[in-house]
Amino acid sequence: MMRALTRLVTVAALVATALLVPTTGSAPDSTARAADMNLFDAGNIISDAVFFDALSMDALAIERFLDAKGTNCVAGTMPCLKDYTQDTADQAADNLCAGYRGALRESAGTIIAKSSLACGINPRVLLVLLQKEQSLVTRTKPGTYEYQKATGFGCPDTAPCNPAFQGLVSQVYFAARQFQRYRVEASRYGYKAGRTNTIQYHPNIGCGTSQVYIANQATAGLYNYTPYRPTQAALFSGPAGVPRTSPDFGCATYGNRNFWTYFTDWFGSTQSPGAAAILEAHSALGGPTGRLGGPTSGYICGLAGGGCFQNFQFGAIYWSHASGAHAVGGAIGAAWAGRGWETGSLGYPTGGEVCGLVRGGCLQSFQKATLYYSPATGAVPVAAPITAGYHAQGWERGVVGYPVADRVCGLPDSGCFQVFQGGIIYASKSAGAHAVRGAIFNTWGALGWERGWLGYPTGGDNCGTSSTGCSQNFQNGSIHWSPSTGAVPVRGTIGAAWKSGSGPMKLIGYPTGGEVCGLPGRGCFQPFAKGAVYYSPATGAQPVRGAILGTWGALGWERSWLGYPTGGDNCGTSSTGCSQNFQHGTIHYSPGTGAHSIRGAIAATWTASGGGAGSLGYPTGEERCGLVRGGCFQTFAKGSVYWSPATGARAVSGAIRDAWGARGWEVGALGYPVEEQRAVPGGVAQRFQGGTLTVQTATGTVTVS
Amino acid sequence: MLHRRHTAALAIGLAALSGLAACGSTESPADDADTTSAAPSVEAAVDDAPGVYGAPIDPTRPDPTDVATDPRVTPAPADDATVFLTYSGWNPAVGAVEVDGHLTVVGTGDATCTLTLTRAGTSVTATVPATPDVNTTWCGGASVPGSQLSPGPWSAVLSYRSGTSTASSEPVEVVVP
Repeated sequence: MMRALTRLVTVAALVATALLVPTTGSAPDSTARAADMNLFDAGNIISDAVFFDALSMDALAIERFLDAKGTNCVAGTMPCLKDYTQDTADQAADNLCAGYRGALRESAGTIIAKSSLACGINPRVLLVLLQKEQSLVTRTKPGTYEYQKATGFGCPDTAPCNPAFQGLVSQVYFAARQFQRYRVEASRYGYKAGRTNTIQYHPNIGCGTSQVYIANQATAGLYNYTPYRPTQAALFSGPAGVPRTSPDFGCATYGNRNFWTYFTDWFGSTQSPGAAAILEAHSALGGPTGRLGGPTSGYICGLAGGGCFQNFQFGAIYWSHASGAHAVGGAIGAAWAGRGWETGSLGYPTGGEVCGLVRGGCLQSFQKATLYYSPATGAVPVAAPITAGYHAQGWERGVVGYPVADRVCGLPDSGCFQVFQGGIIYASKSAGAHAVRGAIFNTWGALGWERGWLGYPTGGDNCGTSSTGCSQNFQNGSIHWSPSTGAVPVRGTIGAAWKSGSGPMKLIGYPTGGEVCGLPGRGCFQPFAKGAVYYSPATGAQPVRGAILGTWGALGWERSWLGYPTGGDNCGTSSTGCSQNFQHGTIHYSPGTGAHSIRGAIAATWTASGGGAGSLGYPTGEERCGLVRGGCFQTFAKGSVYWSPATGARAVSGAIRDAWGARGWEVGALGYPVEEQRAVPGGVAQRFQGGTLTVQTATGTVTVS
Repeated sequence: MLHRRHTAALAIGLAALSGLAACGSTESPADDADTTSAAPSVEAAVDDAPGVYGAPIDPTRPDPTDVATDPRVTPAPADDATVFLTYSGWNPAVGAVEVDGHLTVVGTGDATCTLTLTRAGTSVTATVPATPDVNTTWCGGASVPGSQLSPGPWSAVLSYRSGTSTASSEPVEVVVP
């Protein structure tokens, strides 16, 4: 109903506009005609589509038309056409017409409508014929003669005339039938479409002839019915015709001129590109026996953009100059209609329905969208800006499948989204259109969708091509998924370092939790499956993992004396041991010793000894302080390093270390070592605060001097 | 619902249009012109035609009076009847000479039309039934296949014959390629 009201308002507005056009002419008179005779085409008086538009008016519409045209008619010896009724008899069907079912007191409108439908002729053609022949539509005081010759045609030429089938119904029905005969039996008649014919101007052959290429069957039929074409003088003489005083008077004929002018004035142009295109499209689809079936309406024009449509049993054909003529029907047609037909969000169809898509799907293109149908989803349109993303996903064959709901727009940055079977496509002006789905979608949604810090997706995911994990980029970060970690976002420096990193950064696996900031020194961290990435402005984003991470954590993470990591570990490149530097120290690891930090003077001494591969080996514990006189020590695989403010850091190892330990370590008489161990003849020696320890290698003899 | 209820829209549209139009007489438009200020506007609308076929129409627009019509055809004396050729020529699509025409008077039933092609003393004919119509009698569909004709110009005459009368066309030349 809304559709009808909209149409009415539009049409009424157009007409009202026309009616308000000022005119500077004098009062209208009998010379005022609408038809521009320059448009009269002798070879194409009326198009086939218009001529055979049998459903252009129903009986009620015809009666209203006759009421309007005959408003001033008063009855003569016969009633006015608007008031005419008669009992009608049955007329058998034949190869030209479908027959006539008689009834009591049928109006002229009903007779015309039934005859038009039976014989496939436009009722407007029959109205014009009644006017052209005897002026029955507009005349007043009609008589018997006008009705007897109402269309200039009576009983059929070859079949016996049914005496019961007489009166106006006989004139109208058999005239319609005759025009159908001109089409069906065209070879029997002299004027044929598609060739140049010789046509007289007047019954008087002396008035001359002309060569006319007849473009269509409708025009050929008019010439068969009235075999004269109007002269130029008759065409442009005005309604009253060529004056008797004119030398052209004797050769003027008006029948086909009047047909054209009455039709044009009453019903619009005799040409309709839309109707012709619809007729051709219907024919291409098999005509009445094709998938659309027969027409159930005439051509309805005046739609948006000058469009037309026609309804059929199983669909409709819509046409516009811009889109051409295309059938719509079924679920796709219903979906289109439900969205406002051609004035809605889809516009006119620009192609026919294409079926054979995956899972029993079909599609049809419209000016502003494409409707996709599948049994599971129904028919749903896909339009810009979603279309690009749908394309990138492989249309309905891709992972997102068919659309399940219309797009929703109004999001930030001119954004829209649309739900598909396998995901949701988001589009924005800045980021383009991309699908988001599955666990990544859920995580993105939990963060606020496009309004969250991630913003819009800037590409699709790669989950279909990866067996271990996948990811998707967004405007301000990315989300990464693996079966064991789920979908987790990364961003900023940590995200960039992780995604572009190599070595240990590559080895920490997928993120397991979101980024956490607010650490000392404006630091942040993010946990990953095999470690974490820590960031501070001073150190950048560095991975920490495995035993080193455990040790660092045990020491207090970034809040420990070690501070933030300043680089990754080198464990992937060493088979014996490895290390990772932090702001204030290093953690060293070997399989046999685990991971332990080392720093300061002890670290320097250890390094001087050759590090992990040197005489001390890797640390086996953390630095321990609190010894006497402010000392500290740290154990290593092959010794220890002791430090005190007075003595510095000295390594103690082997037999010396054992002997020193036996004498009470640093709290014994020897105190802290003050030099490194050195070789002496037959053994080794090391000087301590309280003396020098010497050990004979061969005998194990220990002396203190 | 795909099918529109267009008839309702048009019917309401007509009602609206009739309310806007001021003059509707088909018999005395001059009177309308003298009495209402709206009448010129209606004429302006009329002058905008031809409109789009299939769009809602305004049946209240005035029609002209004094429309010239064709005089009733006075049947020519049977002796003066001739056959007027509407077409003659070679139809390459079917490979035949085709000649169509009509009798200049309304003929009677059971008549025939004969096409006679003559060249160098050779004549070939084809006969078809005449077809009576509203204003004339047609001699349509007479053709001679090219297989019966040698290439070159032929003289064609179309003749009408009934039980009571005969008539013929003037000869015309057709060329068989």
